[in-house]
Amino acid sequence: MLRRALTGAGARLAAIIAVFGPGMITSNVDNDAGGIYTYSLCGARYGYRLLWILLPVTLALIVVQEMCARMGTVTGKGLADLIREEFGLRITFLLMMAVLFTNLGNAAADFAGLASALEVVGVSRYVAVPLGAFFIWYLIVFGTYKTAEKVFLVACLVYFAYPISAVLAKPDWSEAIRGTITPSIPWDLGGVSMVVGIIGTTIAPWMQFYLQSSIVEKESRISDYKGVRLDVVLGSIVAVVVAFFIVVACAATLHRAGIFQIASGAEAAEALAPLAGAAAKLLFAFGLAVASLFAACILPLSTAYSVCEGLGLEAGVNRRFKEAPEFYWLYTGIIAASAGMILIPRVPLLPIILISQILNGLLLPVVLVFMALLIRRRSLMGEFVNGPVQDVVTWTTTAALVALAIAMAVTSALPGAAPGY
Amino acid sequence: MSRTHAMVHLSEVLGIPVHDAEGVRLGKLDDLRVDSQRGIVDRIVIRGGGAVRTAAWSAVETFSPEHRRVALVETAAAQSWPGPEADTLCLKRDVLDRQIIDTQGRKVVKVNDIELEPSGQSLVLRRVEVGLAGLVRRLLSGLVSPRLLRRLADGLSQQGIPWDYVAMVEPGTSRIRLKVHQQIATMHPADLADILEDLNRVERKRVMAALDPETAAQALSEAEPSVQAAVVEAMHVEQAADVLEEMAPDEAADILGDLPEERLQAVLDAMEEEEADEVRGLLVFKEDSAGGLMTSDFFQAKAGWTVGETLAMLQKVDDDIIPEMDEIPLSDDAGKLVGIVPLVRLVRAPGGRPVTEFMRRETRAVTTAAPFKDVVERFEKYHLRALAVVDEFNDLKGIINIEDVLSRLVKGD
Repeated sequence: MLRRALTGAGARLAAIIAVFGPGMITSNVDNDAGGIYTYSLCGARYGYRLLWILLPVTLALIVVQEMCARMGTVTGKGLADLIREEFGLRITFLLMMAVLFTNLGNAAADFAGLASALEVVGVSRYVAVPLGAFFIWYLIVFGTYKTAEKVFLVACLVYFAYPISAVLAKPDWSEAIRGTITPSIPWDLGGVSMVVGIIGTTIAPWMQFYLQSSIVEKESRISDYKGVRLDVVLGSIVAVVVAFFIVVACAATLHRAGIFQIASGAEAAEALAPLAGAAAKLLFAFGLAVASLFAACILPLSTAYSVCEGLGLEAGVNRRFKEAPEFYWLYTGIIAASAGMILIPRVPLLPIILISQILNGLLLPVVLVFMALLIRRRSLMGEFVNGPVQDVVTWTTTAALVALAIAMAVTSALPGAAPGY
Repeated sequence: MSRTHAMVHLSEVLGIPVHDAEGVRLGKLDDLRVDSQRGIVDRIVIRGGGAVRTAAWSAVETFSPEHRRVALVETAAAQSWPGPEADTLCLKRDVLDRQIIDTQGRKVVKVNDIELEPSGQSLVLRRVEVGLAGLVRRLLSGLVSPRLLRRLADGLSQQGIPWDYVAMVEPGTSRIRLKVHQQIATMHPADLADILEDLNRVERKRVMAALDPETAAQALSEAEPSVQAAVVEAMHVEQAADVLEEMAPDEAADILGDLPEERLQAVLDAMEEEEADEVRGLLVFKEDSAGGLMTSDFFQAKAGWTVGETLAMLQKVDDDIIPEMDEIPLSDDAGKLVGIVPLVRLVRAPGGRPVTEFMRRETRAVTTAAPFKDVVERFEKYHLRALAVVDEFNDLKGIINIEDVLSRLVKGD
């Protein structure tokens, strides 16, 4: 192609495609085992009634992710790196330890999701988990960012399984639409914790770190910023649309049949079979398996990025093992630990996952406040600093999420609440 | 005057209570200001009681990290401090936790701690600590006893970089920038390119700003293509233009070709007319064709010259194209390629003879549209080091050097 072959619309499209990826991947990975379970439970327990929450959640997700994307593009530094330079080493270190522990629990939950999803189709966890773990380990350790991203983007397509299984479940679309546009909250502990759980599972601390690090690793430039923003907005919308269909699928089947309680995403898939057919069950389980594996790869990756950035160590999928040993050992260690946890017979998985969920809730406010402070600094952001309107939006979103995160940590600790797994 | 005699770390002294001569507590030691030219501490910064004050190092009576005690000669020694002056370096604010360039190890590192050594009346900046020991010291200082901490830290890997080899990536001021410039300008361009690749956008901009255009151009031409475009995009338009003027036009065209349209035009407009025109002429070729590979900045002799005239003209040639002159293309008055004279034959020929007597007819030249594959094959087949490029009318347009071919092969696009 000519050096300047592309002009006008063609060039603009090429520029957008070039920076596309991090936003789409981050948002979609967010629909991991824990997310899918929360949405399934929401549909089973409350039918279409809570669908309206997804609209404000979409907005909050876009606001938060856009901040990270902007910081990553403008400063060329990851979030952990910026927090260290601006707030000092000790705060960063504590934050990193919390991130490490939280993500370990989350990754374990995802390997559990992979195991239970494949058990639906009769594959033993002692086959599924080691194979899955090896695959994602190999992909990152021997791949470059480009190859990994391609695999991730293909994995995003798997989420189409959910709209299809939702359609197979023959839902009452008019009810679904009514639930989407009329807010109502079931005012009891279960209901409130469900609302909080949905928001908490959709906006998690690791996402901000991962998104910013991957944008930095991709070397997106300021001239690409419009494309970067589009990637984030589209990714957020796609992720929430998928969540919508998961709720609808379970509302149309489980809720209608009076099954209000499920213990895992895999159980939701099992329960779908008699109600919506074997195809719906298989699709649902397949989606859960791929989503879990996908998240089990990205969570350790995000952790390795953050910890290495915070401690000033070399990091990045584009580096060789020799160039960034700490980064790769950390990644390897987290995968080994979280996959290994699932293979221990009679391991008390639920407490591990609950604790990491509570930590998630406690960590999110801290991360959001740091972000909101960083993005106001002209010395970092230059002309891309938050304007007055953006500042109001940022702080409003932050305040709302902080309140919810604290509520979530509290409700997770109470008996009778919806567990977020 | 009682001051410590042992090596101290910044992490061990920050936060120590500061008292005046009467023993009144003024606050805590918040930062050390450094005379960056001499590398010694010249002021201390004290924060306490809601105010920030400063005192000259000469007014410090006691400086004893072991006893966690800093005392001043007299009360009046501490004045209120309006904040850091533009031309100074404060260790905590400007160096700690920042990225620096280790010009000896040729890499980018983060500063975990700073080592200072008392020497006579002064406290001298010795090394910045980038290893695990510094991290541990930072994390645990104030939480465990200083002695235990020393023992812990001494057992860990000490990776220090002597202050003379530290180049700040974020030189806030002209004086510091000068120091940075002196340090990194001595590095090999290929090492500088590696460092540029490790830095982020803002840091790249700063490092490039600290270099003179020629050094910057050399470093830039050694970097990966994707990094080149990102660096140029990060720079100010005028500066980018200055640097690109220093590069071979074909390299400049390669980089500019990767930039967004507006930026490309802005940089071209800021460049000198002549250089910009050359680059514009090259931008029309496909990147992987002979036209995209060639440089239009080369020496050619006229077919009407004598050997002596040609050699005289050679005296006036720019230094930067000399390495590419094993063979000299000859063109007639209309600019058409006539033949090629190897430099060695020219040097040994009698000065009064026409230069055409010593040339060979050039039948191997490629056209600007020739694909990269053909160019490589021709180099290999005829064992060439340089190859003439002509347009469809046989007008001499440029020269491809073996080096351009090699680097394209290695980068393998």
